[in-house]
Amino acid sequence: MGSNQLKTQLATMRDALFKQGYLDEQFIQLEELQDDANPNFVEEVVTLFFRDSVRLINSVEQALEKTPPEFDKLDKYMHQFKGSSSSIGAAKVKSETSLFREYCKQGNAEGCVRTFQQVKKEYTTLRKKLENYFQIARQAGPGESASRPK
Amino acid sequence: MEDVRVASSPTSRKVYNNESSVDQIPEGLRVLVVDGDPTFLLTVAKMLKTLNYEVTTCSDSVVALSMLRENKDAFHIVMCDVHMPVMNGYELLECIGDLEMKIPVISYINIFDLVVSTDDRKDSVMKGIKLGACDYLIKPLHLEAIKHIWRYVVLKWRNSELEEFERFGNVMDANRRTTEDAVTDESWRSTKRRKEEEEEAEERDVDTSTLKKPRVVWSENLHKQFIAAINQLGIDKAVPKKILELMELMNVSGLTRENVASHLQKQALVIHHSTTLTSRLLQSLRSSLIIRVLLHYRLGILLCRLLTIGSGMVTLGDPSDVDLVLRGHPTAIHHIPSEFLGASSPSGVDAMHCMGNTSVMMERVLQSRLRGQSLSGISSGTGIQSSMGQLVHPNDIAGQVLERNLSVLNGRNAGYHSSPQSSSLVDYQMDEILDLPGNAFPLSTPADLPFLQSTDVFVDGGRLEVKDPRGFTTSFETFSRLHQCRRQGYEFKNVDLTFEASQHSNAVPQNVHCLPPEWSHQGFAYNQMMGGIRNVFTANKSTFQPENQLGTTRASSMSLAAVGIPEVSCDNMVYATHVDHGVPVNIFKQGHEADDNELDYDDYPSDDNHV
Repeated sequence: MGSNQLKTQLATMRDALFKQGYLDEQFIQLEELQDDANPNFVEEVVTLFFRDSVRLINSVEQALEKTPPEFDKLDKYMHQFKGSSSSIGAAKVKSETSLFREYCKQGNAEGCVRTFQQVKKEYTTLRKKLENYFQIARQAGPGESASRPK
Repeated sequence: MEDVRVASSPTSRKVYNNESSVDQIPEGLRVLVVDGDPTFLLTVAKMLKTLNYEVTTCSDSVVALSMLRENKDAFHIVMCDVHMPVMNGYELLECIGDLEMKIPVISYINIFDLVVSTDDRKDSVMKGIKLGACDYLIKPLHLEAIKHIWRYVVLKWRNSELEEFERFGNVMDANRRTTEDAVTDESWRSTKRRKEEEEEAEERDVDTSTLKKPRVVWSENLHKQFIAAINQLGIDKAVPKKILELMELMNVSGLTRENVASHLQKQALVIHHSTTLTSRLLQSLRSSLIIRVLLHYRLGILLCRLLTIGSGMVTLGDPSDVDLVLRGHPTAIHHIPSEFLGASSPSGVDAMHCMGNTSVMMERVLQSRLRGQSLSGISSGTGIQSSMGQLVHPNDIAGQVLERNLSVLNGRNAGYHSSPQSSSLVDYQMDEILDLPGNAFPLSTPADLPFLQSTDVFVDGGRLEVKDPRGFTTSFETFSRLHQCRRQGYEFKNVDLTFEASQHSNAVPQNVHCLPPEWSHQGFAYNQMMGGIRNVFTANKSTFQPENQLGTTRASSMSLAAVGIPEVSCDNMVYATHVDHGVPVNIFKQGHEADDNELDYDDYPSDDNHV
């Protein structure tokens, strides 16, 4: 594909991400921080997020396996996870983590397990989409900033 | 991309220099961000870098604290998340506070961590603020919010300055207050403690060298207290440290020993200056030179006022103030500082007391001087002083004032012309003065009343000129209006003496206090004096109204009025000195000289001059 086509595709993908609620305003903040000095800043941040969140997810799973689950720890991990996801604007992931924390507070192990599956699902989905996105963005080349969704 | 999980080892830490940070604001502001979320750290670091700040991130509170401790100048500002794994933000806040660093901390919290209800939200914020956070932000942070964090740094620096300013500001504020009391004791204690902490912190802090200490302004009231402290201590013991202690007891805050010491020195310098000039006059006179201090009610008040002015304790307004004083207007009297009043708030009665005190003080001053007492005064003791015999009473500033004013007065009058009348004025011995008639002077002390033997007093077109036998002339401005002493129930407090009205045909008002009996002097006639005084004013009828004659105040006397007011032109002031001991107040009009013996009682003001 030509560069322009790539860029168009990129824009479409981006719009979809926002419209479907995968990303929120915070992502745009990251985009605004991106400049010539750091042309891949957004990707860097997102990559860091995914790397770090793996650690968190593993911790949660371990905590959930225990009987009874260590809800305090669970809440703590989830709290961090929620914070990280909000830092990059991962909206859907964030909302799922909130639900998880609700069950956590209730001491509802089953609810926690169930919700956590949701969290993981959203997380995985977002990761794939963003990896695609950045791949195309790298291919499309620098110089064109994405338009802000209205 | 740098590893944002930095600062785990000292080697990875940047070296921070101790250069002045002021010029680095806002660029180069050194920020330490402590957050458990690496994603966030990366984001905020990028943000801060776009602002040209120097960012250090840290995911661990403990590590952050150690960094702060190691190098207090490392960072200008700290930002920390509230919720963190090991040590949360509040705890970190407290720890940073314990470090007593003057570093602002901004805590922030994730928005979803704030409970929906406004109260809880407020509580969270309040908790942070109470723990010392400068601000409480909400994640996700935006660039706009971070942009202005440098202001907190400046504020923090300024606050530490302000705390210093505050102490001095209390002093300065005293100037503006009309009914002012010094700052409270507790504020002194707290500011003192803070100052100590501040000083420690300042040593660690980077840029305080450019800060100038605010100058202490010695307001009227402050000086009052200063004087009172000195009076209490006694001149011998009036060292800055003790003065400061006493002043602190008077609830003065914000002064340092240095302030007191320099103020003390200033007084000394003033006296020094005055004595240099005065010494010319006084030196020429023998040690027994005395000034007769006769205090008129109004003049006494005025004298007090002038004394206060002269001593810099008060600024005289315009001459109309003098009029008010002369009329015994209560409002004008409040300017008289309390040490003259000796008691509570100024009032009409107190003014009289003041006057009495003043006279007493002046007497004592002169007396001591006459006795050749060597008084280690506040003044640092100059050569002049020794020659002056130190016209300083141990407990009295008035003497210094007197000196200064005398000198100023002398200095003001360029016209020193010799008088051929030197012979007519003689120095009188102290003991002679003691023989003065007891009913003559409203002086309250049984102590000897020293008088500066003055010179001829000339009345010249509204000005009294006092000539020194040796040729120095000082002139005084006369009152354009002298109100007769009215019986307003003024009484001297603590005055044992009463004016004996019967002494002379000219009854003296009962409300006038007179000199102690020992003042009666051989050959001295009060009426002579009064006559002489009267001459002054009657001689210049054009200038004086009958009711303005000083003689009407026969009860009282003329103020020494050897008080010059350097900075203020006192057109309405009269200063008259006259001589006792048989030597009349040689008050002349237009050079017309009166002889001692020519004054007679008949000339004394009659009843129309009754007060």
